[in-house]
Amino acid sequence: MELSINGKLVTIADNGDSRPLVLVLRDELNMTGTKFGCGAGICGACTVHVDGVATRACQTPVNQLAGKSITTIEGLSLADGSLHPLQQAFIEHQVPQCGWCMSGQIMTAAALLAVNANPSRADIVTAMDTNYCRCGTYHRIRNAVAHAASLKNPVTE
Amino acid sequence: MKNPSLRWKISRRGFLVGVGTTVAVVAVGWVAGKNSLRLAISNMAEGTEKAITRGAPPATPMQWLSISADNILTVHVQKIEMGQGILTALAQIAAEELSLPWENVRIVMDPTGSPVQDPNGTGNSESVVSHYLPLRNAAATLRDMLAAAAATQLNVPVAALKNTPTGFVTDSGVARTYGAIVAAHTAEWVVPETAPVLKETSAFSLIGTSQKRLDIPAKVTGTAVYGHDVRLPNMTWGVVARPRIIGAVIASVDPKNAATMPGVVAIVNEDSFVGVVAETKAQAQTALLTMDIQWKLPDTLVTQAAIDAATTVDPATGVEIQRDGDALAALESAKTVYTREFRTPMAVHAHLEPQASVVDVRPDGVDAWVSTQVPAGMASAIAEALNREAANVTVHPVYLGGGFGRRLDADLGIEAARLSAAAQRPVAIAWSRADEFHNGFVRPPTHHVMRGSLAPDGTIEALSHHQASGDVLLTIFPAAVGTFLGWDIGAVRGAKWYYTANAGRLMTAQRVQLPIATSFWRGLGLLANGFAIESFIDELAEKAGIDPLTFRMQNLPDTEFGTRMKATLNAVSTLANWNSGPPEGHAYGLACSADAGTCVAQIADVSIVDGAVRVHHVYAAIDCGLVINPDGVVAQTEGGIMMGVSSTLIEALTVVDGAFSASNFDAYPLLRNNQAPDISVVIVPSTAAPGGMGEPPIGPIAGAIANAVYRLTGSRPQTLPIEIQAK
Ligand code: FES
Ligand code: FES
Repeated sequence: MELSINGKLVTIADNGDSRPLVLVLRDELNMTGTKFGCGAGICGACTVHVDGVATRACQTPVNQLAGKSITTIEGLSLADGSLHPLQQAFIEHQVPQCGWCMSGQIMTAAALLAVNANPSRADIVTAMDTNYCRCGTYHRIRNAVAHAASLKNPVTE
Repeated sequence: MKNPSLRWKISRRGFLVGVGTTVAVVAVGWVAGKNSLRLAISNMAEGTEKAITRGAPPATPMQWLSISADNILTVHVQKIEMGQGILTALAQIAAEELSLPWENVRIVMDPTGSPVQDPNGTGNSESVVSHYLPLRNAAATLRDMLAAAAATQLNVPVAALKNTPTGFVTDSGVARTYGAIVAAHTAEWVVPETAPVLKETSAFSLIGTSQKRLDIPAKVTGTAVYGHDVRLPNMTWGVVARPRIIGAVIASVDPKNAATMPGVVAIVNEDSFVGVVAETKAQAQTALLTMDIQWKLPDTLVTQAAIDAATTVDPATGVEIQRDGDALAALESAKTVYTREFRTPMAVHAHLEPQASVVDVRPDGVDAWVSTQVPAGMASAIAEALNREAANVTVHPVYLGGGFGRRLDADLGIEAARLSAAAQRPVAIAWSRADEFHNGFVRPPTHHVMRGSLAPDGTIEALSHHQASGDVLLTIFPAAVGTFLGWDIGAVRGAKWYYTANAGRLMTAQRVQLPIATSFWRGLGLLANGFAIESFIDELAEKAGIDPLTFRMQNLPDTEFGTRMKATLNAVSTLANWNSGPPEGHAYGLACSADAGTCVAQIADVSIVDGAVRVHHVYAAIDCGLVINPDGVVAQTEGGIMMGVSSTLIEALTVVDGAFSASNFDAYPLLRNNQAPDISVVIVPSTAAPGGMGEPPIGPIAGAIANAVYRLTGSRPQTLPIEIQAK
């Protein structure tokens, strides 16, 4: 079967099964930018976009993804290769510690900014509440997402 | 399928991380230096020579420092980056003596077998402490050697050369970069006999600045490679049968038709070790499930009640760790003795990346990529299990998705090595979250009995702390060590009294041997001991009728440590505006602790929201001696606080029906973003040597929160996680 990942069609084995997207990405396609933390839909480390919506790849069977557009952290950078404003802001604020949760954090935040260009503090906390960070970078995440929103929307006077 | 000549060793074992500095808290002084300094200088002396000899083997980095013709300094270390920013800090230290601009600096984690020998591994908050002077000495020596070479090349005396940020310039203005000097050098490099002159700290241009972390760009683009991410050509997947019931061992195995199932490459079934290798993870799991494995359960199932009962102070059996004056006599004769007990539960590390190992065993050598804090120890453990020379095994460092003391387990690499030897192909073992919960090791439970009395002037008269704790460090020593010592160095991190007492102080440690695997967890005993001591000191302050800040100030010693701690307390009180207090309806709680040469003080701003403790803001002041990277210090402080808030409010692992109570985060949740406080950190200027940063900030947080909760509810929290009782 074919999956559309980061704008490219990719052929994967059609085993007629419901193996989760995270496994196909990481183990079959060697796209290890998407991480695995719990396999139970709790930690958010595996977050990708399916048709623009933040989705847990560990809870998403590949046989439900035909015709849908999947974006992973590897496909988040802009077309010209420059970093997404969120990636820039996460560097600027020096957010990652171990970094294992960061692909998921950034994909969750990108989905938020795509539908809510000017999120309030509360909007940010609500959206980011789905993603664990064991290293405890939570308040840097909040600041970086707010900063990225301002990068995307330069304040006009 | 199996090579009978292999001698497997699969008992539970782990590695020791730099135990030598465990006791080097501020009060004792900085003892890390001498030996590691000598060792590093001899490494450096050999290494530097090879480094700048252009004929050095190009494919294998062989030294601490190398400079390429395009003037890039590469620093080689075997410290492991797990989020603590260690690579960046070490690169800053190394580049300082060469004055190189930051853009010219790179750092790599070298595999075992390179001359960067680091048997201690990474942990114990000691990487900066142990490397600060050796790395500077190495770099300064390199600088002097380059100056000598430049003088020869330019035909001027060394004294006529001025050091610039990229190399040297002569009086008459002829400039040479370091790289150009290396490229033009043809003679033997000579390491000077005399020690180099180090820069004055006032002349530092990199140390003390918030350089951006070198590992972060790869971590926001998904390109950083962790143990779970290693993929090799021809790689297979391994799974291992692991017990759910604590203490269960394999009794019998009927492999059924597992060996002929789709994708199965090899099956190992020997010495109570059962594993399957297949082309995919799912195939390996299916085959394992097909096998009929019978487990022999322990005679008595482990129960939480038995763990709690065992972890209970018996004042008669504790070993005296600290004793000055006669605290017991003073307590005996005191008019009023205050006493309070505290308990902390078992907890898991919950590093977000479950551990993983990829091992490729070939006749000509073994390559291993393992989620480990101790590459050198892992190499020898794998070698021993395979009955090979240690030099035959190369462990390649990988990024760790969190460590917190968990990545010290040798079995991880040994299991994949056994399976790879059988499959004769590279094998990856990626742990699941359930594996981590049931088959890792846990922070041991603790129990503390605190007693104290006061003098009429509000000073402390006597203090005693009896602690009972499951093993921390002793679990990785031969049993005889524990029997001989009778107490656990790790469990007592932060357990001694740092407050003064007129008549005497006593601290005893009671070793509790539990039927569960316990060991290192961030800070070892620090969080539990900080909770007990700082809660109790707050209680004494209240009994004395003295403000908690003032009380701490007047009962800290007038030593160098006491002076640093008081300055730290002052700084946090200014930061949080202690005197004007928290917002309406909130309470402030104060606590401080010292560990690894670092003083920390914190104020938690807390309220009760819907019957639950809500930590709004944590203010922290920290004196970690000379600071390498201020933003790195802030980040580690924030991280320690968040992990501590999670422990204080949410986390507890228990035993139910003979097994741990959680298999995933549904039954053992972690702190989430909407529960996470804002954090403000101030770094206290300090002339002390660099202290540790990875663990100390977790010391005060439970006490700070508990003390605020007491102010809100009138009831003093005595167990973690804190549960609210109505006022
Ligand atoms: S791995 Fe998917 S939510 Fe945790
Ligand atoms: S940075 Fe380590 S889990 Fe978030």
